[in-house]
Amino acid sequence: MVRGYIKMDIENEIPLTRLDENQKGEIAFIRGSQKIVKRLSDLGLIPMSEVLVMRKTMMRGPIEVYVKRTTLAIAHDIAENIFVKLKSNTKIKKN
Amino acid sequence: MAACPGCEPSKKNVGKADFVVALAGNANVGKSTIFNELTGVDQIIGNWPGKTVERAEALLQHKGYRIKVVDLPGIYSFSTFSMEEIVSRDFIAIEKPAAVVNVIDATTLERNLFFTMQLLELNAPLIIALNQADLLEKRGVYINTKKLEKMLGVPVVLTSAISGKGISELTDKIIEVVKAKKKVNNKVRYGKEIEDRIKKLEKHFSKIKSGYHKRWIAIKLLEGDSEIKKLIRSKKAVSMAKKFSNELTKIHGHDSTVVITAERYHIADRIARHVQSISPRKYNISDIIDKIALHPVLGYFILVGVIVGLLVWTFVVGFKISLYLSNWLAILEQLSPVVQGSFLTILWNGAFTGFVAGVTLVIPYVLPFYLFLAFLEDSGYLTRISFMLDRGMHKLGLHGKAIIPLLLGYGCNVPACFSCRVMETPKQKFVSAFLVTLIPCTARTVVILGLVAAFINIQWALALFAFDILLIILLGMLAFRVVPGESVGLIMEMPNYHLPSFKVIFKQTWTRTKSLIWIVFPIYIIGSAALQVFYAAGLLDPINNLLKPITVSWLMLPSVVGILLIFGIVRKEMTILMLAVLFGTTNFLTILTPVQMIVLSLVTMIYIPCLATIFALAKEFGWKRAWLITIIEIAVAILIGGLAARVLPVFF
Ligand SMILES: Nc1nc2c(ncn2[C@@H]2O[C@H](COP(=O)(O)OP(=O)(O)OP(=O)(O)O)[C@@H](O)[C@H]2O)c(=O)[nH]1
Repeated sequence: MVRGYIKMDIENEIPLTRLDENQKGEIAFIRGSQKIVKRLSDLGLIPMSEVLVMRKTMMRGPIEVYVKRTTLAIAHDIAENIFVKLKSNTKIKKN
Repeated sequence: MAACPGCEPSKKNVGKADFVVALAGNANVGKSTIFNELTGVDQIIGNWPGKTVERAEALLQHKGYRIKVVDLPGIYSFSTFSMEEIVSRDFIAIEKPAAVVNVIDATTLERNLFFTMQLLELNAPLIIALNQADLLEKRGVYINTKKLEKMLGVPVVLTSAISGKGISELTDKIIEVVKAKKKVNNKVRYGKEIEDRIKKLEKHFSKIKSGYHKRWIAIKLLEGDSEIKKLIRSKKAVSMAKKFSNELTKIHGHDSTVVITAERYHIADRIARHVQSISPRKYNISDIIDKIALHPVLGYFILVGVIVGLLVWTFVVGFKISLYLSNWLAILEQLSPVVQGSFLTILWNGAFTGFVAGVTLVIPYVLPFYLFLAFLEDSGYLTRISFMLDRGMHKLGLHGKAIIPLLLGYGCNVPACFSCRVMETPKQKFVSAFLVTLIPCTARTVVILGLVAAFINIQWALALFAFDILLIILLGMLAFRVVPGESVGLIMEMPNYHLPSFKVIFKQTWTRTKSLIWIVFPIYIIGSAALQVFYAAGLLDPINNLLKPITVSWLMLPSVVGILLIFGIVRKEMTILMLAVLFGTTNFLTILTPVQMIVLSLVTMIYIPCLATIFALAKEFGWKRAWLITIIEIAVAILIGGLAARVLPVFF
């Protein structure tokens, strides 16, 4: 599988799945196959864009995010590889 | 929608047209609605992304011009990762339509303009239809169209396709653009470090046959597009592009594809900021409904309720209509299943019974099913079902979106197979199509109900449905392991709910039913006429004898089942129809024992996709895979049928 470029030097970047519902983050980078990175960025998940977690589901179900004024459902596995910087100063939930 | 033999309403023979206009844009923005408004043709509309799987064309006549309108599938970019994207970009770049109408959902301007940026790169002669304009006010968005026109350098028309507003202005603009034949002048420029590299690259390939615009090729090379690399013969350009991409990656710390995507979005965002004013996002109705509909407990109760409701509604309403229609037809002519007489009498009698069966067995059940489904589709709930069932589908290597073809399958497998294109990878498309063919469509449900529910009890009929779901899960897990290829997870846009419009629902239902009638009726009529002739000619016994080892020895059914199963390949419900015809009775208890009824229903449910479905599979995946599915299902059906014949007597 072709890997997208990975940048992981900054510390406070956490997976999207670690945000709480109604918490905002700013996309830092996305890990994954080129195809998925491309698709996510086409949908507006590009570096520095703002995402809001709208809904999380139990047992590693998909999460719902709000980005560029649209709502997207993203599988848990994929969302885990979307890294964000925290926007609001809320605490990070420990996994 | 889908192209099944004879049921394709969308690719009408368009004849000679003066020029071609394409509709392009993101998924679910209203392209098909605009297409229908423009041409009067009925394309499938629904509130979930990815309905238009095949390009549809139809003719629009306006002010003396004959305009061919082409509805392209909804996409977000022109990469080479999906068939829809390649098809769309080739159509625009190579077939060069005289104008491209970029349909935009005005309520999410940024995301839509991102695609507009790419259309501009292709140097397409654009017109922008700012659709869903009726929702702007509700969402607290104001768009200055004049300013947008100026910034993009292309005409912008506000439309509201469901009410037909703005459509005639759009048509006028199309003709204006085509007549003016102005040279396309794309004004949009990206950041300096990208533009410099585009310029340098452009110098390194001269003429390319492909018909793609030069600037576009340069950008695609920077993005590392593999298709375009193949097209370019200049090794120098390719290696240069590689070097440039690496430089961009260095500067920005992201893959060059991401850098360029981000750049397009920056421009799109900037334009959107300039031309629109938005009041902050409010908690809207959709959020409130989702609080309940996607609730971790309540949501699933509603989901089950909706699906059970769909099936119950289908068969309660279907049964009523069926009863009514058969009474009505009985007045016309008494059914006399097996007749003696001249060849013509036999033929006529066969054809007529076939017609009656079509009218009384298919239409009554399919109609209410599609009606309810169209309601679910247009409301936006279908995507919520996908969301909730996503996790479960992972076990089958699929994801939530696969629930859409599977649900469609309960109506008719053929369009359901085509809608498997909503899945992303070839493996996922194939596995979901395989599972779709195991879903009991209305025809098979009629058999189950007509035999099991009618003569044993409803519990046994439900048990069969439950067993079918179990089988699908089992075979799905197996197929996931065995079929080679890659699976990707769910990435899906969740549209807002909206109140379904009756016009859309009725049109939708009619379009689907109509296309079904096209395949069902001819096959019914020809099939039952042929059977009558076979019967009169004494050909049935040899066939039945040939199949005896399976039907009689292994499945423990009467030998006449052989011919039923052969005819069932054409349409599944033929199995009970023929049973009635051959024995001259609809009281099947006089012919079959309860166990035999269940075994026959089981086998009918699984043993083969019907002829039309086999064709659909072949079209999507090639004959080899279509045969593979067919053979596997025959084997599984025979195996399960035989086992059932030995186990079930315990219960009776
Ligand atoms: N409010 C409003 N809804 C619209 C308008 N136009 C279309 N819709 C709705 O938007 C949804 C999507 O419309 P379609 O025409 O199926 O969209 P499409 O762009 O062809 O979608 P794909 O085939 O998935 O690419 C449907 O539920 C329509 O009823 C409009 O002008 N106003």
